[in-house]
Amino acid sequence: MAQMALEGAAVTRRRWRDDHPILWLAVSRTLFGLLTLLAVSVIVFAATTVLPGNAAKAILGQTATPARVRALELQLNLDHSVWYQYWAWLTGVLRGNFGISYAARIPAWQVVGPRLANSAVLVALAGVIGTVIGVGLGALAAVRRGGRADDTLAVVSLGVTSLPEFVVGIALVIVFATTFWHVLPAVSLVPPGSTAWENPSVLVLPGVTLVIVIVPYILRMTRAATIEALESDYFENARLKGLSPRRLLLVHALPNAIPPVVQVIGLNLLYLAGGIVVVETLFAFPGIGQGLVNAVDDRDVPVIQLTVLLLAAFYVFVNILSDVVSLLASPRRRLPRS
Amino acid sequence: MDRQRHLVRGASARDRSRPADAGQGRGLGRREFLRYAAAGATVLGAGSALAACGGSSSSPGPGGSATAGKPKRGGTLTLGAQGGASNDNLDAHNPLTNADYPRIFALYSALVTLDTNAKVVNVLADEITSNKDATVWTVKIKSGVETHKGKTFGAKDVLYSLRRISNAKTPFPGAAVLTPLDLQNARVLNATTLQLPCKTPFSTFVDSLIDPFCLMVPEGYDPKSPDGTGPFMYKSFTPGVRSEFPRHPNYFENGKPYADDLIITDIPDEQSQVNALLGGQVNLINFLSSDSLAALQNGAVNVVISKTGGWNPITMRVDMAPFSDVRVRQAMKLIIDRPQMLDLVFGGHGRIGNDVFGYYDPLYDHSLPQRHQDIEQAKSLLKAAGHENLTVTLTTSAGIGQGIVKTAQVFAQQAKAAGVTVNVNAVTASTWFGQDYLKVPFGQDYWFYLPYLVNVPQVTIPGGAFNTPHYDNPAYTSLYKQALATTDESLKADLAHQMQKIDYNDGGLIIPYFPPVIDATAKNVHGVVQSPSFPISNYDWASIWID
Repeated sequence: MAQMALEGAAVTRRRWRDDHPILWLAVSRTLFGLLTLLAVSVIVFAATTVLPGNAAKAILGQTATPARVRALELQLNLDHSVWYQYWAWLTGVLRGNFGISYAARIPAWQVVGPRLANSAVLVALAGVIGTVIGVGLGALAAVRRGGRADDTLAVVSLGVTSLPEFVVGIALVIVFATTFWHVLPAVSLVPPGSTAWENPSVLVLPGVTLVIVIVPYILRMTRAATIEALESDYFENARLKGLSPRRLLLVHALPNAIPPVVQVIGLNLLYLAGGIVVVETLFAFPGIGQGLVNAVDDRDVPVIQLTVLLLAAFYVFVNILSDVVSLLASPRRRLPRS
Repeated sequence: MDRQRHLVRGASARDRSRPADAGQGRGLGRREFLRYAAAGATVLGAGSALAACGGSSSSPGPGGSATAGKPKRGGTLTLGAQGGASNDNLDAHNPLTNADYPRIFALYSALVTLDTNAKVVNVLADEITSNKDATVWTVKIKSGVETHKGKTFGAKDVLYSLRRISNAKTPFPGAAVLTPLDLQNARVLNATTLQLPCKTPFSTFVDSLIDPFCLMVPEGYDPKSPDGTGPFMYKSFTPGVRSEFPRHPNYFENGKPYADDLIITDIPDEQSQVNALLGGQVNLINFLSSDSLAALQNGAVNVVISKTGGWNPITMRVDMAPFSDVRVRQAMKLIIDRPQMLDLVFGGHGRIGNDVFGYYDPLYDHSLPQRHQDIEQAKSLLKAAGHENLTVTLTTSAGIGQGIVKTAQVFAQQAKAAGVTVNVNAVTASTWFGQDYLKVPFGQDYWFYLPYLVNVPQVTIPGGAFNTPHYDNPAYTSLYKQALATTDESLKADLAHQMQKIDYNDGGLIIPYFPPVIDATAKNVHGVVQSPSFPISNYDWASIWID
């Protein structure tokens, strides 16, 4: 009896999983994602306490006389045990309270929020434009493979890939902002209270830098995946049926190239979220990366925690999303197993 | 990536306020001085600044040069400031980052300041005098000075400021230079006169007031809505990002300030600062390294390179081996090729040091022989001390200041010749200030210029808050106490010279050079002259104008 019930349960569970592979993937990955975030918060908190000194000393710097350090420690509740501090932070987060920034003395969310918005706009802009250009050029290179356009794109993208983003950024600044023309701002100064999209000119150079950095990867992956599709038997069959080249490419070749390309786009979005630090520093762009660097300097634990959690959540989300999209684009894996 | 936070620490004093001195230091206001300076001034283009700095340094002053022409009213000064962070704040007595100094010097005025020749001159003060043994000071301030919010600034506000700085609960950094004052028993004699008795003789009171932590605020001051007597007034401020200060229309110096607005925007990265200036987004930038000179000289901008009295010591703890042996300390001082170090770290700008601080102070002893590299003597001193083939770790951090880590690396290279192995351990700013500062046996430090006797109690007297060498020499301390108790200038000079001889021969501070301060401005910004201490004409915002 008992054995049968167990088997029955196992069968039911497996069936649910098999019937809804996408939902199962999304739900299970989300749960693991939440565990990941919890682990990240513990690790970050531990790392910030392992570092020598504390926020009070970091904030006061050379003026950190014992009396002043003590006063600030009391103000910041740094006199409690590490466990207490972590517990206070965690319970606060569960109630939607991310703590008070040690350095700025305002809620951490108010420090991170505007920067997050600025970075999100930059990443979204660069991500969308970079993807459109990368996929378009990749498809072009695949269709014209072996031709002059393909060769040029191969050489240029290989060259660009080897340039770090600060080199690309500095080159753009020299050409468009300081030495040759003065048409774009060299530094992304955004007045407080306003946002990056209210000052669109400040988005141009950092945005273009990021686009230049990600396009080659997407281009090369699209090219490879499209070529693979173009050389498949079913495509040959479709071509022999006399379908128009446009229809061939858009309906038969590109959709099959989606899964690998989506993975690369996902990876590039993740790169953007992390690699944006360099570009933000170069352009003094008031984004989340620059904010994180400042917060680490100040040992501003609430701001570090919030920023890292947001970045980690973004990683988890993009990973799940790109897996789901890949699945949706692969009918063989998407449909319930029989 | 570490933000640089060179903080200034202030200290305590010498009397230049005595009537005998009046004609020299106190009669000449900053405005008058600039007018004279303008007469023989040169435009400091990048090229000419280099030439100027290559010249001889026989004159102790940094030599002010202003831009010729009649100052014009109007325009907006925009500073791309280095060293800001999210803990930027506007409290007059609590600057924490390098972007705080340009802001507090705009909002608040001091009683006295340094002019471009490093002389102490009056700002809000009219006259500061003492009794014969420097135990009671009388501060008379200018009358009719108005704050941004329309209050009249008076003697009671001076007392309020001094008490706020020295409050017993959490004293501000400036308290360190004011300790001898007996503020409990201070008395406001009339609207503009304050009497300050002292617990111990305090002949260095006036010099101590140039400490950047001793700015004046009105009674009831609230840093959240700051009121002050400075040339620009508070309008908006976002820490780590930007501040906007319009002109104070009732500033006490007639006709000043010249500009309508002062905007200070934080730019953490030096390359971005240079780009912002070349691209025309800001018209002033500060705290540059010599690495940026090439890019700036190609652009249509002015570069001002100041020989400051700031100093970057290599610090040896005299209470720990191997530096507890004076012969090891002397050997370390002899190992350095100072001109080469200055060339490598600051492109030759600045001036070489002689292991004594307080360069612009009239009490600085220029007769001490300049120490040169002497590897043979260093070797024999080390041998005598039993430390042949010495290995030491020099702990350092880019967070201490401009050129600090490079200095450590050059030192390690030069020490090889004497058989000394120096391991350079560069740590992050938060590690440095959190764990290593004041503790490591062999480290580095950074100071802006302070007069010699103002600096001493902080750095070479037991109990000093920044006594990195842990120096405790009873003879030296006794000389210092005697100097504090005398208003006889020649006796004071004699005592200071004796102390400097001890610094030179016995001290735990190696001062290989006095670093330059490098600023750059747009071509149409005038009035930025060489400074003895802080960037941008010692942040004399009232005197800078745009055409």
